[in-house]
Amino acid sequence: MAAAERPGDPGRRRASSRTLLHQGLAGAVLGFPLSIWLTGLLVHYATGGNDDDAKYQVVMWSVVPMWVLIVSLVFLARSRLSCWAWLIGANFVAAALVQAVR
Amino acid sequence: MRVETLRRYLVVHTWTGILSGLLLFVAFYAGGLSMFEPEITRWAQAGPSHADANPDADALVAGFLAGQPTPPRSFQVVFAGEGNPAPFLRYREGGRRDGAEHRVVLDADGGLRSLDDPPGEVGDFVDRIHRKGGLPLPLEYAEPIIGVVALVYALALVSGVIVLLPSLVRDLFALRITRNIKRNWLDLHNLVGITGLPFHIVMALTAAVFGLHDWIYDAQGALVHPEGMRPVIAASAPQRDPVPTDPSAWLPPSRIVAAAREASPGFEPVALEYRGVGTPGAAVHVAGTDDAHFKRSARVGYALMDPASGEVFRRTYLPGYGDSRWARALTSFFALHFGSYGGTPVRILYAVLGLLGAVLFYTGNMLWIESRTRRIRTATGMPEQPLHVRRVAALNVGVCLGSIAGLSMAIVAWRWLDGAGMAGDVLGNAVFFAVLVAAVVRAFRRGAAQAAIGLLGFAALACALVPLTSLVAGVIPHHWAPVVAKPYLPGFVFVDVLFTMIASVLAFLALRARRRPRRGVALPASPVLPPGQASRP
Repeated sequence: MAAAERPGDPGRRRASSRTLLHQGLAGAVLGFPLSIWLTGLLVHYATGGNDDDAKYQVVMWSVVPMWVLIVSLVFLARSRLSCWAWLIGANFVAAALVQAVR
Repeated sequence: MRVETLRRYLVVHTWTGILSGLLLFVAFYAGGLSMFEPEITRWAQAGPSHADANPDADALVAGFLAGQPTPPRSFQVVFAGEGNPAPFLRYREGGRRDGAEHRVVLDADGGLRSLDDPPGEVGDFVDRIHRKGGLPLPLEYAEPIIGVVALVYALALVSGVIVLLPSLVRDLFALRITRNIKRNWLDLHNLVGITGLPFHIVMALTAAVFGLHDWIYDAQGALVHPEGMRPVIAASAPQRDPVPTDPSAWLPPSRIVAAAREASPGFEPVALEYRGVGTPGAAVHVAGTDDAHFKRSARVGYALMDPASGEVFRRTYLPGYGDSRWARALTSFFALHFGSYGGTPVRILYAVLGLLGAVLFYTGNMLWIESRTRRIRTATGMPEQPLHVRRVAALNVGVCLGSIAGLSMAIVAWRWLDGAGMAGDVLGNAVFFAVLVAAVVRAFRRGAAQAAIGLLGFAALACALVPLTSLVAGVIPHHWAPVVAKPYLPGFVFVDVLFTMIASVLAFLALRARRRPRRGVALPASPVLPPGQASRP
């Protein structure tokens, strides 16, 4: 999504409020499983499994900032289509990684 | 940053803000008050009627267990302390969460006595209004809604900061009190928002977790842990030896307290919560204060102990003694929301930040309204507001001022009517929602600008009733209204000063609005603008 930030990018049009609502809702819905997978990867698995009775709670807490971060970024997408493509792609990659490390 | 990017985030900020603003106003206002939850309870309610009870908690527990063929699965012992002259024991019928609550004390002659003060506390009522954001729903329905609203609020914070970034340094401390009404609101909104930003980030993220943790655990069980969350949680729990199922073999409360103090210097137990009584997994959760550390709850942290051996088997929630970095991080999340560290100064700070948070949402709503009010020169000099803007303006004034007035009236009514013999939140909810609905109806009927003058004065008066009640308490005869005429306790000063401050600010705004209704400085959409100002953008 950072690519959309390029200055002078001619592909970027004025997004209507309706498009932004669409992107925000898509980000909220698809960002939820994505944030679950990402925090599972980064916090649960990357730090060595289930060895502390506070850890599964911290993993749960870390879902919310991750989710907010994802929804905050979707408005950078150029169009509805690229927004969906990024979100579905990211979900797919994150789910596959979780599957791989499990 | 590109102009288009900024524009997008401004749109996001505008709509997330107006969607979440009203609920957040009530949540922050009530949350600020709830920093003095026990003080509000003690201010408004009759003192406990068991001052003559036996001060020996060990004898109380022994006597209670001796009289129970099968002790309840869980019960709580509350020690003597501020607002509680002697230890009492609390349990629910059948050990069920919804069972009727019973409280017993030990008489001087060794017999058990039931306390019949009606259960329910005013401070709890204020806290529940905070947690529900003023929604007239049961807590279990309101909390997920507030969780989602908190997410929307987090998004509003991110987008608001992005929008402000380019002009941050130039605009931060600029408070341009000019004739441009929208500029005034914007400067105040930016100042309150940026200075309170860390507090707001904490509140948005923690409130979202409080409201949505069930959904998140369910999703983690479905997506990351195919075996479900239950085994994950069970596997992380420390291994314990089985506890004797007969409670008479357990240590008396005084030994538990001594062991807890030894486990953590500075930890001062205030209550014991016995869980899983009659099972080999029985535990006693020792609730205690320690102002030097982050605490898991609003006033206390916990040592989880074996009731038979007195061994602390879990330190996760013991203030300052979390076993691990995970435990310390976790406790900090809770403590940063509750302001449960540093004692009274931090509580005062949180109360102020909470009320300032309410200002952020009020000014944000005002900005939304002002941006949609066209101040064009018309034949009548009326600013033009579309119907939906007039509705939002009325809702904003009605809900904000109505909830301020409603909470004060509920607290004052509880004291003057001595709870009216009603259980739980019945009286509080009745007064709060009656005032709130009346204020909203008035705002819709009179229009926001006109109604606000009266409602500001009314809310100021309602808040002033709190310190005024404290004043008259000293002069009215005790037999006439025993709860009103009770002696003044040290904690009351927090309640009186807080409401005096709120009343003063509201009274100032009311006078200002009355004196200059046409300038529209403190209010939206004044009905008549003098010539010359009407054309300002």
